[in-house]
Amino acid sequence: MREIFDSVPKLVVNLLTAFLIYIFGNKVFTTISARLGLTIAGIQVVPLINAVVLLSMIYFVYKCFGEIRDIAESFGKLIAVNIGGGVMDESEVKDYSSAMRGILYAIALTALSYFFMDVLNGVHGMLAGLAMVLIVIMVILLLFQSVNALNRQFTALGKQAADQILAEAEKSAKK
Amino acid sequence: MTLEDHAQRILTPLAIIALVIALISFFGMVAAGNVPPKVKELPALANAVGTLNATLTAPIGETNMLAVLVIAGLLIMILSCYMMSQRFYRMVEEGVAAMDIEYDGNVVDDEEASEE
Repeated sequence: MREIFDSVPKLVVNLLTAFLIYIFGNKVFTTISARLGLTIAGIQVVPLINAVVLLSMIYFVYKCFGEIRDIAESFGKLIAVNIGGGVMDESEVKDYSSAMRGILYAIALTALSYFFMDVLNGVHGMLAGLAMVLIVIMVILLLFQSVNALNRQFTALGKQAADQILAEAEKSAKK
Repeated sequence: MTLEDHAQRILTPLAIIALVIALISFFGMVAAGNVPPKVKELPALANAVGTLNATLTAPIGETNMLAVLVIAGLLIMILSCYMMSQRFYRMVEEGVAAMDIEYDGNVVDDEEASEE
């Protein structure tokens, strides 16, 4: 619980900072440079600004993913505690954390790709296409990993329920 | 550290960002020649704006003065954003450390399970 209180505000701050850099970098600095055709030593300033904005956004987004991992692990523990009736074991925590992590990462990647595409397009058109393909593959892999983890836990829960029903049926048959 | 101190430390980089954006926008406006007509009516002000325009647009080799200012402004803005996030981090960490959260679940590790 403490981890959630610690990580959620940090995640919001990192996202807002990345957004602030994106908005000002793209809407103010790039616009002025493009309109006036600014150059430094013969190099166009617009791709330079986009590269700097991209690097700083990557830094803040990288920090976001660290916080998302912490939040996913905390949620995984909470789910494991609630499903296990106050008791949790390592495999449950690991699977639920992994599932939450995959889902949250997939959502974050999809949302962030919108901002990154714009900036990547400013640096080089090919980079945007390459990044899009990579993001799609990563999202599919992450969702596959999440579904696998949930599948393991649901199979175990189903088996546990079936065992319980069978045991009760045996008990009632003996009576 | 009190909440006021934290707020002050967070708002300072934000003010720097606002100042940088305002300055770069102003320089961009002057360099593009988008000056309000009333400025041109005042000779002293029109002269000052003309000098600033000439300075900003004067090429130094293949470099514009304004291009250097834009890049410097961008770097200052990113640095201020970084400072702001770090200060916010500290505020959150201090706030969470002061919280009294009780964990409401039992953790059963392997050793305890085998003992039982």
